[in-house]
Amino acid sequence: MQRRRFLAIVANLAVWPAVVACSRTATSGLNLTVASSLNNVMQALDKAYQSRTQTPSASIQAGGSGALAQQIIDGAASDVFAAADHAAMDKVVAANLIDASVVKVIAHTALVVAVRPGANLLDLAALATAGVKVVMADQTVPAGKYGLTLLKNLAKSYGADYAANVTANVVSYEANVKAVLQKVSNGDADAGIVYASDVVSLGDKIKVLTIPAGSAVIAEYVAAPLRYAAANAPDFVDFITSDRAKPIWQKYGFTA
Amino acid sequence: MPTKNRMMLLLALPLLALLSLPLIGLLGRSSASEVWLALGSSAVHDALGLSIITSFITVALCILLGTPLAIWLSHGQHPWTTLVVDLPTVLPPAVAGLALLSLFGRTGWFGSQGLLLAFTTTAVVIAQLFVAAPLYVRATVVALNAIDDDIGHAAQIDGADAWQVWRFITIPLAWPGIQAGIALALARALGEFGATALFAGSLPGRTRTLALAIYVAAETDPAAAIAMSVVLLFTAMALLFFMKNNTVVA
Repeated sequence: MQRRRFLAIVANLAVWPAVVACSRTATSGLNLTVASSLNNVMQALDKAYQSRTQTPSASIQAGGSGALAQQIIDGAASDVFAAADHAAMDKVVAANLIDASVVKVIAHTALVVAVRPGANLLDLAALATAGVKVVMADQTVPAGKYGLTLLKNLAKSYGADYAANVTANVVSYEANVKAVLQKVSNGDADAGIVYASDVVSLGDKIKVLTIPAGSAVIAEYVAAPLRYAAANAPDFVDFITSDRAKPIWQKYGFTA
Repeated sequence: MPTKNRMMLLLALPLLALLSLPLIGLLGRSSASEVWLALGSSAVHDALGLSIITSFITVALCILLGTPLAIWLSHGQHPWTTLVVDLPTVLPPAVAGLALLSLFGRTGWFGSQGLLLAFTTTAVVIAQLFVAAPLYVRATVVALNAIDDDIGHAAQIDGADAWQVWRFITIPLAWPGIQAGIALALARALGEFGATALFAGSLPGRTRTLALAIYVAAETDPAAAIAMSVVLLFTAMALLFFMKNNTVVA
């Protein structure tokens, strides 16, 4: 009897992913596949687009750009792909699912250092102090690559050992930038390298060290309609690159 | 009887296909040369080594700490304790990670007292133990409950002491179930991902187990991720096979 109950639990666990996969609500709006750092701003942009065109609301699929590109190539339904770097976009273009000529730069955001409130970190130099817990994105994802470039840039101001000393303080290389921020905002890490747009919504839950202009690293976001997308997909991409969309981008910490 | 069983196999086929085809697909997508390349990379060495070591520590702790709990649970009714033991297996991995952080994170109960475990290998083991131990305990309880008490009583009448009953009757009779529990716990520990990602972080050589390395690679290098998945698949198969054939009660 008990064994049967146990097996029932195990069987339940087995079907769980299927249940979760089915629970995505069906809409007749656009399917937007966006880098996780674009999730919030895309919702706002979609809202503005809806009220302008009276179209149904889009369903947004957010994640790491590289993984999303792979999902699209593997057949995930998508009308517009917005990526955090050119590499992910190029993969979808190479798979012949996006026409290279319609890829547009949609926004920029700068790298910043997010600091846990209460951490004794007053400036960027303090990141190299032994014992500080630093979290970065893994160097295989855009935020991680940008982060290493940033450390190299800062080494010009803070000494040749700076980059090595900071990386020696790294306690975790996360798979995406949201995970970096989560580890800083919940207080387990002292500092993390993230995008300016990521920290906008956090207010005083986080302290932000901005990077001097001479060392700044800027991430570039690109978007494009898929080749076999809904008819209004190109119109949506035009909208998010229009002057009308600029204030929305700015509100969410991007420069458009 | 054989016809009835063949009927059952027919009914079982959809699930059997669902369980086996994705893994076969995984193998189909990988190539021997890529798997070989993955096996040669130091990143995979570190991650695989860490996975195996932490999983074995976890299983040892499961047996050490889980067996007394299982014995206690097998005597009498303990619905609340049973619920506590069952809960981690039904929690989504992220919940397990957040729960562990509420205890050992910097702002957690123990964390705020100075016991900071986040980002350590210990955190990896604790995360694995949290999700794997319930499987061991449940399987062991079921195995112990299935034993007829009369056998032990008969042995006691014949002069066996409590230890002898335990050693020569209870354990051998419960062994197949306990063994299944060990295998389940080992497999779960080896595959543990969500709680580890949230609680222990992902530092190569210290907290980045193979499951986490696969997740990171899946972002940008699916071929490497698939190759590592195949490595994990065969490691799990080898370990389960090894456990089945070498954990025999003398």
